[in-house]
Amino acid sequence: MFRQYSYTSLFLGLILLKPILSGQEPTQEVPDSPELELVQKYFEMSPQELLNLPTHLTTGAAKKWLRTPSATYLLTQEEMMQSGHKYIPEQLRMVPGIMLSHSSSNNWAISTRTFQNNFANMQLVLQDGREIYTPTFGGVFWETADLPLEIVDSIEIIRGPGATLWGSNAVNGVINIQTIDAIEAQNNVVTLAGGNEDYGSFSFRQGGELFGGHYYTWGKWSNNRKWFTDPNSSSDDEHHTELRKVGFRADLPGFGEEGWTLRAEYFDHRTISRFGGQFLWTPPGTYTFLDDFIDTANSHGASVQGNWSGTFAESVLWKLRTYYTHEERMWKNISLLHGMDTFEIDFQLGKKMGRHDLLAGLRHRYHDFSFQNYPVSSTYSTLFGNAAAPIFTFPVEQVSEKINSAFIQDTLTLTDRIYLLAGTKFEDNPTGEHWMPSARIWWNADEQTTYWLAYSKALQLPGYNSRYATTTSGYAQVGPSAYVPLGLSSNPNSQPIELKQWELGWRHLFSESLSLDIATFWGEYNDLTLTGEHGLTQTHHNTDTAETIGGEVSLTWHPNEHLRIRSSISTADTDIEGPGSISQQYSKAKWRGNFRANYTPNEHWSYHLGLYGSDRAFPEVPQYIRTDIGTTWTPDEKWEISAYMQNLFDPSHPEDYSPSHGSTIQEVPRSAYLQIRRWF
Amino acid sequence: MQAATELAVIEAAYIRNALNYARWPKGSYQDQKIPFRLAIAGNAEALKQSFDMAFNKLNYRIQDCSVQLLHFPSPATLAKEISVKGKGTCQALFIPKSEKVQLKEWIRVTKDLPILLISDEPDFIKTGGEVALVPNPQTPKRFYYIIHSKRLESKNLRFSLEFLRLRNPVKVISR
Repeated sequence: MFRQYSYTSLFLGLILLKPILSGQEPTQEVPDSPELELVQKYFEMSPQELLNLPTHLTTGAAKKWLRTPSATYLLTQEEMMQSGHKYIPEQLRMVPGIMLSHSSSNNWAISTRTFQNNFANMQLVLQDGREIYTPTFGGVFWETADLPLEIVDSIEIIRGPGATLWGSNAVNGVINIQTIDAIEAQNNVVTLAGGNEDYGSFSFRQGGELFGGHYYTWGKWSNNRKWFTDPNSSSDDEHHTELRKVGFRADLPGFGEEGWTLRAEYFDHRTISRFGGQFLWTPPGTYTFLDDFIDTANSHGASVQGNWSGTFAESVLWKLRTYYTHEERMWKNISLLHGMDTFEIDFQLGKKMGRHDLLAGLRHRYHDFSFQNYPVSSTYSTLFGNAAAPIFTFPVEQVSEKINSAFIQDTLTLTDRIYLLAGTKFEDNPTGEHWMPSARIWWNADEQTTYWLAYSKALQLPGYNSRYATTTSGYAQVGPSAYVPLGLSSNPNSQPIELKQWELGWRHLFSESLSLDIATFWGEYNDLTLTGEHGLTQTHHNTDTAETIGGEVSLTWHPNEHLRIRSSISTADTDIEGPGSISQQYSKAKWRGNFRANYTPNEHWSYHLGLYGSDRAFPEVPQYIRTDIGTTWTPDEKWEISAYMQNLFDPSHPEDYSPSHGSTIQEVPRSAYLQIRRWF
Repeated sequence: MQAATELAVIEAAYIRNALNYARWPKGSYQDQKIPFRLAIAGNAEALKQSFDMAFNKLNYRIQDCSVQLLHFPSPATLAKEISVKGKGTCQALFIPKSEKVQLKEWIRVTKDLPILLISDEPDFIKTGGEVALVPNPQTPKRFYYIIHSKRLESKNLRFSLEFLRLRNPVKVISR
């Protein structure tokens, strides 16, 4: 019994800031009755755990994390606020196994474990369970995925396949951004920030009571400077990206014991981006790249989402989630207007029966796509005459698609310390009917150690672009003034990319202040296909295969109540084979790592140091180590003032290279900003 | 253990949580090596039992001090004790919602003393109190705090910034 108690304290110490624990010294007595055990259970909880449901990295969740049979990381709000990273995508830089490169001031190339580029499309990204990736190419428009940190509870990152639970597209990983409960947002807050690269940003959160429950509204406006010189602009100060986003969340009683949640948001985004020009191929083998061009992209969208949950028959848990989104994105020079409507309804049931913990669910998703091409730009018409074609051409203006799926999984308690989780998903999608099984077994060797082994199969649906779009990346000169467009042709019969992966992991708590998490993986990809870069005329075919092997090691240490250190290193080696020659499209970085330290000497001051490094990603992108520093002064409960410098020892460095972003690599500049947060 | 008793244990844990983060004026308490004196008003038997198990049997602490539990059946008994011991009577007083009709009287007898008042009566703030513990309608067995910071300031009391800045259901009223 004492042993059990001792480790409970250990978990507390591991995860939570020590100042929170003042006054929670271990007791001397050992509980000898159910009543005393109950008292101990709640008195051992941290404030955060008492206040919130134990679903996050608190004491109970530390045990949950220790025993979770998958490679997971939970970025907490506190960790994000201390980091100095102002944007949600940038926060992922801290996560082991995430390959992140800041491509331009409003664009990130983010992938889990491998296959990283600007069109990375093998991970599922969710916000409160709502998919925010776009089926158009299977990736994420990260520039519009931003949220005020004040409404973000955490970002949960699961590395490796998660298709049994989440369905197709959860191939290399799942990223779920979770917003805070309305009851946690009853204090109002306004945040202002500005610096040499970010012209300014403003965000707010305002909460209150509503129909016996709680609500909050929120908004964010940000305006960033571009990282390149626009030859068509008279001023280099022209703003690059402007994002305006507002939202609402209400947690209300009724419709189930736990009530229901309503979320809604709207965004409007404008950006100026540089794209690489199309090429001119003059036989037998001379390539001439045309000048880069600057494009203005406008997008806007809205979503509304409802969640309900409760129990029936006393022990059957149910959850219902539904949402609708509408988005429109327009690229002026690419001559494309893309609209998308999505509706999804998801229902899950859970029940414990003896040694079995069953979970089953049904899901229906409906997509409606619309595309509209505008006349090709006069520049290309002048050069190539009738052969001039938009970069993307869609043969149909509207397509509707449905995805229906069902899953079942069982967590079986084999012994006191060994568990087996097995399940499968069946999905009927536009490419056919597919099964996505997985199995995980884990052994809690003792209260400090867990070993786990997993096998999973996952599928990545081909993007709408590969099935229907023709990409014109250049022209062949076939006569003195005769040209033929070249590029990538669509293939309506494109099949999903398949991943079969084995994972092996080990977690250990060395002491109450030191923990280690190791995950390794080996997997085989089949039916890989091109994602759309420069090349001669080709057709999307599932031609290539790949083998990948790697792992992540992360360490958390807080030697005392004032200092917290987190560090991780990740490695992945992916060997691609096949006639498609797609390997040139992806980052070759073999390792990534980070080291972060937070020092809080008292309640008024805190200091942050972050080091982020990467191996050479492309011939044009050498290895780098970036240094961020920052400090926060909290004079009283109403004010919080922070100053951060990023990329401290380097005027600029490249993190990513993509021909689609122009002939000159855009480099991440040294930057500084000041932020003021006011609570009401 | 019955559900009602479990709720009392949870409530007791919430109260201890808040008290761990409260700050008293210098000289009134922290500098003295004495037990933390926590008083319970009126009739709150289940909560008393929870406190007794936590502080007397399991030796949990508040503010890194051992805890001495006190019980005042009525505002008059508290007033009498205060007349003898003054501000050292206790550091905190929990007033259960069963004392709703006497809330104003409990508040009156502790006026201007550095005694932190905390209650699970939802209307405690409206009545003039400082810290209310209110059930969270979305989450069974969870509460949230409503803190009237101006009233705390008038007694030279406050909560630590760590507590107020925890991303948690703490609602601060400053007017």
